[in-house]
Amino acid sequence: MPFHSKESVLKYFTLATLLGLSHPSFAEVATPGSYRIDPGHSTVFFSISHLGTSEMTGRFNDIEGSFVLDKEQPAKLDVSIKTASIDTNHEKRDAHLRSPDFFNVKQYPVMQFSADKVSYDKQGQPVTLHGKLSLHGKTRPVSFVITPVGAGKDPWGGYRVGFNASTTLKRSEFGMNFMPGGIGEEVTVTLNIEAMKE
Amino acid sequence: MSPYLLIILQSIAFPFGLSGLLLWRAGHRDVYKVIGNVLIWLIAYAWIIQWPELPPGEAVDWLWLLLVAGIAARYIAHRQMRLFYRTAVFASMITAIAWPVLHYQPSIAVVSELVILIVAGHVLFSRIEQIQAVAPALTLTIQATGLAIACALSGSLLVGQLSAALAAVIGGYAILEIFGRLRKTLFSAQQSLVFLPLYLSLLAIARLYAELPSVTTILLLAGPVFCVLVPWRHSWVISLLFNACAIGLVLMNSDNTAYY
Repeated sequence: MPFHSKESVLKYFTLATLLGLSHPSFAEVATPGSYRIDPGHSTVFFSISHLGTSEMTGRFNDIEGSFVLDKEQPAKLDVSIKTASIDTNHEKRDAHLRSPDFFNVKQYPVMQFSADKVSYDKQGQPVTLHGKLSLHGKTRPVSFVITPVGAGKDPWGGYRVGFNASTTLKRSEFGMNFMPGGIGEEVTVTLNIEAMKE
Repeated sequence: MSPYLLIILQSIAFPFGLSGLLLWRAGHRDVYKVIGNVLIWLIAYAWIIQWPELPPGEAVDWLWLLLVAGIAARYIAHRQMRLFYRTAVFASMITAIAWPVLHYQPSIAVVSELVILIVAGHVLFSRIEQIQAVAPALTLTIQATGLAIACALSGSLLVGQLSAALAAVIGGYAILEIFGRLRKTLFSAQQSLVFLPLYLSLLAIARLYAELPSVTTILLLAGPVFCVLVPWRHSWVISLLFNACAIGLVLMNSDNTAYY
């Protein structure tokens, strides 16, 4: 937006400063506690080989869950993802992915990841999540590598933490065997999570 | 191997070739034709879905049980009992196939659709037992091809492939019916009674899981019902028209992208 006057410049500068002051710190270690995932600022991405020539990416738009971040307590993380919310920026392909050929969303409407073990580094940052992923009627052990992004107070007085978690799955292990030649076997899954302290 | 070549091999070339070979070798021996054709379709099916789960997990995993039960019906002697048995097996399979949808999203509309399908199945089985159908293989091939195309266009290539394999297995008989000017057929009532429930089950799977549009589903169901209720020599033309309309509707409702 163009600035038209001295007052508007001052107004934008003040707002930017306030937001900057309350922006979560990138270096801060998240405070222990229970967190609820913010669905509006969290995404699940996946990427898979297409015909061996490129990496196709997609995402799931409907995610919810919660976790406990505390070294002194047993780890707990539950993430539910509605499989019908798959979005690859192509309506026809999304319909195909929802069909019995792949996710079979009518029969398996939710995929769920439950972690019961978290390993931390020396600074107290979570490094790895170990748990079970239930997808397409199959439950398999899965480990996510965590990259902490930031933690701190938000502009509304709450406390937020953010991290990215990624893993590689084999789709055949979850009973998704269709079109083995055209579509890759390995799927890279990335969770970009932002959560609010409860 | 190219994925498209694999699809053609799995769902057309392999079942059509093997079925043609069986037709040539088995001649008029009905039992060999029935069991042989079922086995050919089952091999193609196992190849397409990469082996069914046991106990069945998804809707398509029930299909092999439906075929085995269909063959078993042959050995139930009493005619009335056979009809009851076929309808009971078909109703049970449709319920099993639909169970996840009924469990997660129960609705009167879904139940009504299933009831219509089961009643249509009962009427078809009953009529096939009673009458000598005209060009049954041609009609069923047209129907299965129509379902395959509609499925592939509307969302599920897997169900489309399974239906294409069904069309390919019966296709040889349809060609012979055309060469015989639709006056005689090598496709027996027993074969119809085994493969028709399979076609109806694939239609149910396409409707429930691949969201085949309701009007398309009705047209694909109306084809065999019309052909059996009106055993006219050229009723296959009506079946062809119903299928053309069904595919046309899917095409009209889809975007222009042929592949992605």
